[in-house]
Amino acid sequence: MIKVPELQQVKLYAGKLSDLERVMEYLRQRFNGATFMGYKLQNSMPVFGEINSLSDMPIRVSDIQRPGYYELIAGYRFRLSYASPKWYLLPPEHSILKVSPDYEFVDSTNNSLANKVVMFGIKSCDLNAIAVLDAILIGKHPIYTKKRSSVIAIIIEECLEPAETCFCSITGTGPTVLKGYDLAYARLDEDTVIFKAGSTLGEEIIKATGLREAVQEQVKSYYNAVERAMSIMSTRLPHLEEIQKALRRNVINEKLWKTLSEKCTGCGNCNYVCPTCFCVEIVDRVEESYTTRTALWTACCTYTYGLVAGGHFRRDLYMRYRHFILHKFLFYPKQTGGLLGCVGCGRCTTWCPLGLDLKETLVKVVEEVR
Amino acid sequence: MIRVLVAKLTSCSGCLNEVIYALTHSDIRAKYNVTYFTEVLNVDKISNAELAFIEGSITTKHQEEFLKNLRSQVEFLIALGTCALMGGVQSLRLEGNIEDVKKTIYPEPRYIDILSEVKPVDSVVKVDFAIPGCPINGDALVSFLRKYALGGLPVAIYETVCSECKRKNIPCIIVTQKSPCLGPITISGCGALCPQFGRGCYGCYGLKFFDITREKINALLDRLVELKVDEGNLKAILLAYSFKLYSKLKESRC
Repeated sequence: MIKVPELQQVKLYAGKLSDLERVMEYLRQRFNGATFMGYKLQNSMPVFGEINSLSDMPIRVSDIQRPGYYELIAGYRFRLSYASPKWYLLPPEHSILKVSPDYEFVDSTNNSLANKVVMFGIKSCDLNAIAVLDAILIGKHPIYTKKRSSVIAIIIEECLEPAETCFCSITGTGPTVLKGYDLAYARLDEDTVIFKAGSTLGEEIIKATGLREAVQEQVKSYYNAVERAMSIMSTRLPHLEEIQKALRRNVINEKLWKTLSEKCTGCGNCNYVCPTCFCVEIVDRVEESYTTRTALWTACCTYTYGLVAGGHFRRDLYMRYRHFILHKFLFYPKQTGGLLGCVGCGRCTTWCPLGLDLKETLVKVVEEVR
Repeated sequence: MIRVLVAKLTSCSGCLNEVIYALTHSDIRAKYNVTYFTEVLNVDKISNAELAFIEGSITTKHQEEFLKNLRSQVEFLIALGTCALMGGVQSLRLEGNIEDVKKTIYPEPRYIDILSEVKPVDSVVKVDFAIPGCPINGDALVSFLRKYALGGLPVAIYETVCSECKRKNIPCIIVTQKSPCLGPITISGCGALCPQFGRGCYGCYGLKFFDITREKINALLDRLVELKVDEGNLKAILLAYSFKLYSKLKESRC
């Protein structure tokens, strides 16, 4: 878990929303021609995509998130869209191979690449999710590797108030950032923005935009808000070690997993919205002029997952639901060198059409042990 | 050239139109020779062929015999669309007495010689391959024809409509708009046609034939009721739902 004293070593700067606009402007000039990506409003729904100005971003809305429920209201506490940076880094559908009728191979990993990308306003949980994807895919997945290397700057927005479905303090992935970013900002209130630098680029931005150091009172209320956010989330789940221990003990508790997945229909929404889920299925599309081998996101909760020629590894739905949870909390660390597969963003809970709550599942697993 | 028969039973010909569109591709025309297709050819006799496409459900005795004959003439039979696979919209009449149903439409109902039931194609003959949908997805048919000509078959991928929404960047309409949508229990393949226009899925591709039990259907319906989805809308959507598995739905709360 992130400790507040650790944070206090970072120098804070204060500004207004207009300063955030200036930061964006500065970056635009600094990286001429770069594409800005982040959460943005499209048909009044937040998605992940290209941002042209601050007004594209959900800066004047707050999201209400509950299991299976999402609503936007007027405000300044936007947490998350269902879409994460994964939509850019590992697109839902990407061609991995093209073959012409005379069996000539065409490298298809080159197309649809933005040359330079600035991630702007992404949240701490999503930054951590990128680190998880990096650990698994960099150097192994050519498209991810290329797209990831196109990201030249990362600007983080820290949440000072968690949504009902959030639990990033439990997974140690938020709400504040310590590393892996260039500049981070948090909205103290509707117009006051606190900035901090995470790299030399961040320091350069602060210097160039002439941001002033935050006054004592602002610093205090920033840390208070962070602490409050963490304490709200800390009551939502037991400690991570306890969760992992309980999961390990209950791997073969068939009855428990059947009960926990009672309402699950195997639709896979949790997987698709999860910022760290990276599984794809391969489809060959035969066209008149060439055939494309395409990778499509798949979901471990759907029936396709584990289906192989001659059989099925996880025929029953409860086995797939269990795999989803166990993979996030027990298996990812083995794949990533220690990083947890869950970043506590709560998307799987908000975007489950049946309203299954991951937190509830974890609490029940822990209770089973107690 | 691969010889093909295209036939229909009780249906609207919407899926057959997709067959016609598929035949507009020159590479497909170069590989297939359609020898029976009442919509486009002046041929009324069925002869031996490698492939046959069948659209529609069985509602008369005559159709049953026609279908059996068709099956005996071909090596590989492909059922096209919701009617052939699940009965289709005409299954709605199963709710009432057949004589009453006839009376509501025809002035002389005694001339109408139909079965009291609506049978999907596979209840009478063996089906080798199925392309679901109302109508079917034309791309899926084109893909089938191209792969079959190369000596292969498309790999069936069992997912839900939700997977197509997410891959197309469509925010869930249950979660954001409380729309009655049956996407979470319906098989994928349509490309999320309805949700991308803000309308709930009414399940034309059919209930997933794996994972889904009565309890799962009830869980989704309970959730929709909890979200205060308009009950009239919900009922309408369920009435129009897939029909082969209609009994499964009937046992649930609707």
